[in-house]
Amino acid sequence: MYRTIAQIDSATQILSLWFPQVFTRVRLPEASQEGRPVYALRMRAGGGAGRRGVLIVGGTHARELMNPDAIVELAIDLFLSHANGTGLTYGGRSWSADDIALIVEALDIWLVPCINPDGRHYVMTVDDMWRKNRRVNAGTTCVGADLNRNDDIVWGVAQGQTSCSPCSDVYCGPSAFSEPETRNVKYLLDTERMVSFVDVHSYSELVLYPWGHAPTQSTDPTKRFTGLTTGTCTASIPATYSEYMPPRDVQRFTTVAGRIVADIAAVRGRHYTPQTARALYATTGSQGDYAYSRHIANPALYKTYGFTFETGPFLSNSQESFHPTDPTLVKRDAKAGLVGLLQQSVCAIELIGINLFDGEAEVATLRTFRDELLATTPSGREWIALFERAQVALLTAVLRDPKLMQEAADVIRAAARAIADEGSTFKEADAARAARFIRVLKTKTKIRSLQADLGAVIAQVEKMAGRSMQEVIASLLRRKPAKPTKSVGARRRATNTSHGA
Amino acid sequence: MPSRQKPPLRGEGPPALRFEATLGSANYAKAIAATSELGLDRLPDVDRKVRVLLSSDDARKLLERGFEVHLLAPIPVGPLEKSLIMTDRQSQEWIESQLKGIPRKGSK
Repeated sequence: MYRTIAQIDSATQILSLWFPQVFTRVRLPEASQEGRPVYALRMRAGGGAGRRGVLIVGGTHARELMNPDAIVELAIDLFLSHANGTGLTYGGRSWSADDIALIVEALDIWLVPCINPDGRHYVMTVDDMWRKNRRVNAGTTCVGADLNRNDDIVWGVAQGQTSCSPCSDVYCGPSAFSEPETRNVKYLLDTERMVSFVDVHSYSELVLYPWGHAPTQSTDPTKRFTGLTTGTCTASIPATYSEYMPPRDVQRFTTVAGRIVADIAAVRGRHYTPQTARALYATTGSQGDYAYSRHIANPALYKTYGFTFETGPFLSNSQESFHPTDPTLVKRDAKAGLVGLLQQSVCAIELIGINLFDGEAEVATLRTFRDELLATTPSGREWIALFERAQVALLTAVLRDPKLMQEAADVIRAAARAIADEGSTFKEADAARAARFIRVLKTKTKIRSLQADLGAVIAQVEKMAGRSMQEVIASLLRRKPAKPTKSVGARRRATNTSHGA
Repeated sequence: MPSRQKPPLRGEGPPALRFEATLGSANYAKAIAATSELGLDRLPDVDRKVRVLLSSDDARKLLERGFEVHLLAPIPVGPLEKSLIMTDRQSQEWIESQLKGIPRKGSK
């Protein structure tokens, strides 16, 4: 069963009226083409300014009916879990009450269940395969623009699945952001600090990330979309062109998408594929690409990691695939993927540093170190990946324990101080404190691979104690985290269980 | 605000008669290019076939260009089946049942 746009609006209104301490409903600045209001729902528990934001939008393509409902239900699932202090379970994937509390208390979760209310209404009253919005295209009898082709990223380059013809189902509109519905999403990106964005579509069981207009490469930073001729509906992208993405961002997109896919698979075994949008087909002006492109076009803007989900498998035909008779299981998969994205949008250092000891300067130092130094070598990126793996699993344990939290804050302070002064030495006392802290963390997890990760960090910390910070940094940039060596017993077990040809 | 509208005529939106179809072509890129050129609504396909929603006129144009067009099913233009849409009452009852027992603003 699917909700009408009025029922979706009613649900967001009820949440904001009954539980204003958690939900705030915001009417976005522009009404839709046919004059319907468009609402965003902000979800957050507790106080605090300058939180990391995550923007989840759905209903971009009108006929993909499941996702606006899934987004509304996700809000309620998260709320109930938090209010009752229970965990959240979707099939075989569970999050603890602490995991959910961390998400809801650390992030500002912005939900726009349906950015295209006219389209949804049209699907329910006239044509269940309608895709676009309901713009009236002057000089033609054809209606609508594709809201996932209308953003200001290589807009007006009609290639692959993008068209400048108003009668096409992938019509990009008369100009970038010509549509009030896309301008509403841009407004949220302009006014809030969104670290992650996802536009939830159907179908195909994919988790997509940039780029969509060209293949992605990480070797030639001069190849940027900002240098392409766009906006004319006559320009094209050279066949040999590939768009640059820094290795660090490639790593972030692939690891986050990989974890989202794993979260979805754990629900009931559906295997979503993580890939670049271009691997599906060439597109320009898409919302996911735009969200990520903003900080490149204007370095003063925040970096937002932009994703597109394609929920649900192909069923007997496209109608059934876009709006299955029973969408319950597909919605559950989608919600698991969204919780996975939310969980990975929390930053441990930022949370501990800014919220616990007012350490904006320390956090900024560590962020610069990560992005401008560590991210520049393959070994450095392995260390970043290790840290991100560990923080998802261990942050709740740290936050639950005031003593551990204090120790984490001390380690962050010491690390930032040492990194800020390359001429300094990695003091024996700081190394001992960090190693002791990580040993305690190691006892908080039963995940063997994570224990091994933490073991590698302890080994590195102890090895570097007393060395100059220059040496420490050079080592991180040159040497990957050590792989755990298997014990003789483990090697023997592995040999015994290996299969012959 | 419009409530229930008449199905559109050709040119105003989707054609009155349309089909879900796949294109048979040895040259995948050529088939993709043809669908882009005709502004066809391309549908996702698990087997990476070129699957589209098209009118009989679109099918004729593709045939004239030398493509095999496999019509899979007619897709009539019509609203979503009513049984798939929640009633206002169902929607309200669902949300009430979900949030039952959680103290609301103003509740004692």
